[in-house]
Amino acid sequence: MNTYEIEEELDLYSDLPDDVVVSVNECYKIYKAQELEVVALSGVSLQILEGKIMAVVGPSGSGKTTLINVIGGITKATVGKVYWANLRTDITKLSERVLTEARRNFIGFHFQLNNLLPHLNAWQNVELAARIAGVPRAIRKERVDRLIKMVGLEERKRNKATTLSGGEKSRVAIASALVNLLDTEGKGLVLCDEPTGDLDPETGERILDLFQELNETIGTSFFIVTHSQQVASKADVTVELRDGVISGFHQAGIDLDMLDTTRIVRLDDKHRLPMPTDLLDLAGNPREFRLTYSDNKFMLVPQSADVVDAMREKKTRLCRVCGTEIPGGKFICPNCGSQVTV
Amino acid sequence: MAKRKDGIKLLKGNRLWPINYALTSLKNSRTRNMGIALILAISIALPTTVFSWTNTGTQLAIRDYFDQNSYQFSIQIQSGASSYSSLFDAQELVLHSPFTEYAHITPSTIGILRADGITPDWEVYHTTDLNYALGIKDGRVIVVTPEILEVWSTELAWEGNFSLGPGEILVSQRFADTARAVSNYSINIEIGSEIAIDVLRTSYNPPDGRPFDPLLLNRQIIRNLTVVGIYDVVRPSVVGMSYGGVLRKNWDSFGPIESVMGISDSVLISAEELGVESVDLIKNQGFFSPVEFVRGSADGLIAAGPTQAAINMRALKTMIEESDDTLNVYGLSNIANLQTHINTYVASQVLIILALPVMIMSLMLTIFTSEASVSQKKGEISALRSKGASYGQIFGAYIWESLILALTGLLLGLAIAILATPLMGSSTGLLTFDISSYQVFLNELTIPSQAMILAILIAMFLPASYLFHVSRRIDVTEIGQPTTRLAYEIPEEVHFSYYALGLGTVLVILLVMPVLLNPTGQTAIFELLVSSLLLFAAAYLGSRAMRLVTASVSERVTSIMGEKKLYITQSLRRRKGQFIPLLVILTLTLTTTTMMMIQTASFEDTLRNEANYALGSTVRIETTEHPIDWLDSFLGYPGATGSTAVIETTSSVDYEGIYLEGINAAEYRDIGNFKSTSFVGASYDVILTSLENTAHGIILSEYHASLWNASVGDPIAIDVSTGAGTKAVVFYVVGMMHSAPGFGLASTRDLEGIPFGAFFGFQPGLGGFALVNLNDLSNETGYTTARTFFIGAASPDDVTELTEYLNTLQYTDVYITDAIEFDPNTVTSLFIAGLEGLTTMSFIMCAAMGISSIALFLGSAVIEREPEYALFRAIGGTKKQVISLVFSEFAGSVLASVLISLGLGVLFGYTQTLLTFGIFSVWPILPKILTYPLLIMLLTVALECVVMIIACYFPARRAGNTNPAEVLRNM
Repeated sequence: MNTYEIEEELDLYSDLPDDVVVSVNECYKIYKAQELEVVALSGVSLQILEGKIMAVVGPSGSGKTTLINVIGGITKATVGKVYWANLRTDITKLSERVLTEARRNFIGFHFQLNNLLPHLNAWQNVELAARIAGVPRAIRKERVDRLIKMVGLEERKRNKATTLSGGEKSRVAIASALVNLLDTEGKGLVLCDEPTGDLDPETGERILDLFQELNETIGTSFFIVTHSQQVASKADVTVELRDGVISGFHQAGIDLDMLDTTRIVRLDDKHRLPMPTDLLDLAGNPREFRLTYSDNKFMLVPQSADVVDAMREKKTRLCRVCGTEIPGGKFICPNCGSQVTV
Repeated sequence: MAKRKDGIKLLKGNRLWPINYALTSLKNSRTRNMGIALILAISIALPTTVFSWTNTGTQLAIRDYFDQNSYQFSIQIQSGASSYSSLFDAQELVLHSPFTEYAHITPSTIGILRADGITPDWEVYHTTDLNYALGIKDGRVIVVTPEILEVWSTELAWEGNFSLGPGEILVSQRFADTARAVSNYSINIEIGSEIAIDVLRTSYNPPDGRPFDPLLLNRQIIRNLTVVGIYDVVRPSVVGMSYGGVLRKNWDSFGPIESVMGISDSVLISAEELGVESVDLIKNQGFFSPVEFVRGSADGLIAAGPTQAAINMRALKTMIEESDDTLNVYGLSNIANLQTHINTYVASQVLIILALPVMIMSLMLTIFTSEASVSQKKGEISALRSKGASYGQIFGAYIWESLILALTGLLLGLAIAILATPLMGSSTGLLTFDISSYQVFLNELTIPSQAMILAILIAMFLPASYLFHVSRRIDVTEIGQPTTRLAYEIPEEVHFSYYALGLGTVLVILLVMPVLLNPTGQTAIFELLVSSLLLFAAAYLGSRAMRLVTASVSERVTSIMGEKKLYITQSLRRRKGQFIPLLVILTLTLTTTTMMMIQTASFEDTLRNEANYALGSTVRIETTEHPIDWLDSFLGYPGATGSTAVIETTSSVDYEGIYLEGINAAEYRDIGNFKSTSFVGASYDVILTSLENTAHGIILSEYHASLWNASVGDPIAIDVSTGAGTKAVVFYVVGMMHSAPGFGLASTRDLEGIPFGAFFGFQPGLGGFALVNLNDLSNETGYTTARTFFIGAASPDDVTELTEYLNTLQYTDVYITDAIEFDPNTVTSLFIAGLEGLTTMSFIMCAAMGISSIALFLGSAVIEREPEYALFRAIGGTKKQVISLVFSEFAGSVLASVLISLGLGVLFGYTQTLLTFGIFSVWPILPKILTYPLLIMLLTVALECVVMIIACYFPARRAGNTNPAEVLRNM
């Protein structure tokens, strides 16, 4: 196994806590399709913490898969920074080659479609990633055996991928994703895209239990894109993504039907606050709000009347200097010439 | 593993993984990869075979020439030269040439037969005396070594032994015969006889008036020599012609001058018998110049380029001739034949253009299959990317895969070429070959370096194609793609008439092209290329149209197809991506087979027609001067229906020279192989009868009639060459001709190429020829002999006895109808053999390609459609029903291809035949014969069709074996 060193750049991430595995900062991703620009991610920032399971929920087209690709270094963000703990640097500046090599023992992928090669058996599919990475045979064998045991496939390890059940395939895929992360002292991350998408609830549950078990035993972090409440409920943190923007964070044990009760929204770096669309729907999609703060609470009241007209109301004022009445629409006192300050 | 304290480490990856993965991947899709390798092999094998055929053929011609001629030339000093030393200088030159294998020097002098008590004891000897009358039997003594005898044993005919031990001698038959005559039948030299020879080691002839001193002859008497063998010269060879004789009168001062002391009047004595001193003396001072025989090196000539062999050998001869004025070089007179043979092979390389469609087809198929192979890997690439494989690693894996495939294809292609090259060299007809020539070709087979380079370049086509497809594919592949492809294609709703219209246009262009542009030389090559392109276009359009027609037909024949119609009709309208290339390939292969068969059959028939016309009659004899009534003496032989001699002389009108051919008009009319196009204005029958009945009648070419402004009945004064000079003779025009059997085209100005007869010297040169009565010409010129004779017979078999007899005559060539073009050394036979060999090869390769493409395309179609078959099975279809469903669709497509390719084959066969004549060395003077060998065409296409349909069964069976549970679970 070969390793080599990277010239350490100015470490922009020294302020980040040690338990951050991946940090995404103000990432934008714009795809160009037939001269049209599609914004898939629009200023996304999040941190994945060591040993935690983070889930991302959101409707189709919200940018979940783009986010997973950006985190995994498969796709580069158009603007923004992605920090990987193993490199302690922004990966968007790295070459494809360095990125691929760094990814091997830091990121594992697990997809709904499992990505197993049909002509290889379960054991070989798990081993493949280690072979590609150039892990020596003895270490490889030991790791694969260990993982196969962990995912409970000892009996089926000689079976071709096509003959495995959905749950078994998923287990092979997990083992395969972890094969190079075992020695990373918990700094690794498994990116999962709809891991239980085509599994029945019971098998899905077992796979999620396996995630939790592996998360606890190996300490590997999981980042899961899902539509499933079942998955979201197992996560330590759940992120809501909508139109490429994070519209909310939730603590463990969320219920997708009652997101509004657990949602925490976070200001972005420009002090903007994303509004959850389900709540906006409930309020009849208002476009403007009246914002007040009192008793330690921010109040957002939908503004139904014409705000602009109200502001332009030509109100008669009294001059604060001489007390003369200033006619509506005028801002200079006709008596003393003082300017009205708003 | 180095690890920094801050914990940054990168897994650089396994450098060997790409090649490991490539090997696994190749193993996993064995059938597909074997198909790709086979198709690539075919495109490699075709040009390699043609080039190897010409190269090996050339080498065989060279070796054959060297086998038949032990020495290529001999060197000796001109008679009268004072010293032989320049010969030894020349030897240095010879031995240093890379084109010399070895050189033998044979000293020779005069020897006189000695028989005590019988031959006189002579004191005076002059080479030019009436020695035989004086009882002196002299002859040439040639000093030989065992090596020389070994070579000569194949040059001379001999009986007894042809080797010399101590006390042994070899004598020539004539030496023995004349010895008997000179000794008045007292000496009878036979094998086992003992003779003695006085060897005159020094040439001596005293100046006039000085007494003869026999001591100066340095006589060495060798006694008790046992005759172990008697030899004779029976065929012209360098050995036979290098010992010039002495011309003298032998018996009587008034008798005839005879040549003596040549090789046929000689004895051979070994150098050992004479001793070193004697040999040295003879070599430097003997009566005759030593003769140095030079054996060319076949290997040296082949190494310097087989095509230059004859030229290089000639250059060596010239170099020696120019090195010293006193040197005489004999030999190499027949090397011109070798060069012609070589040139023919080189010229036949143009045949490669006929194999172009098959080559392009296989390269196209290589692109299709590699594209299909790579596109199926989309999911695989995605999976590998997600497992940490870098672009470089994935790229490397696929490039390794393609390189291994290319190497396999290259080796396979070379193996096919090795087996197919002798097939071209040993072709005796369409799909037939001669096994013994096959073995000869196989043993001598060499692949020229240029062909090897071309083969490697073609092999690299596959990695290049992979490179293109893979790089494109990796670029667009994201991780998380499915490893199995599921896509539904919308059925095609285009009306077939669009394709039919396109096909019609292509075919019109094809048929009109050779009419608008006369296909000769470069134009023919250009048109052949265009026709290859049109073939592809036609195959594509035809396949699209046929597929839609099949779909439409299957829609209508519910009663036959039953419930299958539901599926097949729709299925036939979609999957263009898989089925159209397959149909195009099948159509192309079958069309090419049909086309090449028509081409070869038409070629054979046209050439046979040309050959028979060039011959003139059933039997044509080219011989030395014989009286014009010579053939009358053969009237006793049965079978001949008539004969005529041909007197030829030159003549002219103004500055236009033509040959006058004197024939017996009535006989010529009856026995000539006339065609309706031969004569103009009236039938040959009428015109020749008119010639017979008209004193000083003449039949002119149309060109000359118009040039000299003569029409039928007009007199025309012609200056005729006679034995004594030129004579003006008035002839009367009785008719006009375009051409005449036995002579060729009447006006050489109408020639656009070399007619068949010209290769045999049958086509008169100058401006052409005119036919006149034999007796008229004989009377006017005084010529009473002829060299050319025509004999007519109902069939060549009827005059076998006569032709056998004629063949025994010296300097006589007998040409018989239907046998002329099979002489292996003729230009035409090589071209035809090449064409036949190429057709046979193309047939086999097209069949192999068709079957491979079925395996490749239908195999992958079945894999892709497994979910559909699984669904069929899941909703209650039996295995048999699925097989029948899939087989009907596949076999239907193959049948559609067969039908369309038969039609296309006939049309392309027509054009391609016309175009191929354009690149052929023979220019036909008669209309080309287009032959459609229907039976053989149908048989071969049917055979191919049956094999292909059988090949369809295997993917169908695989479809039937679909396990619905497994497939549907993996969907």
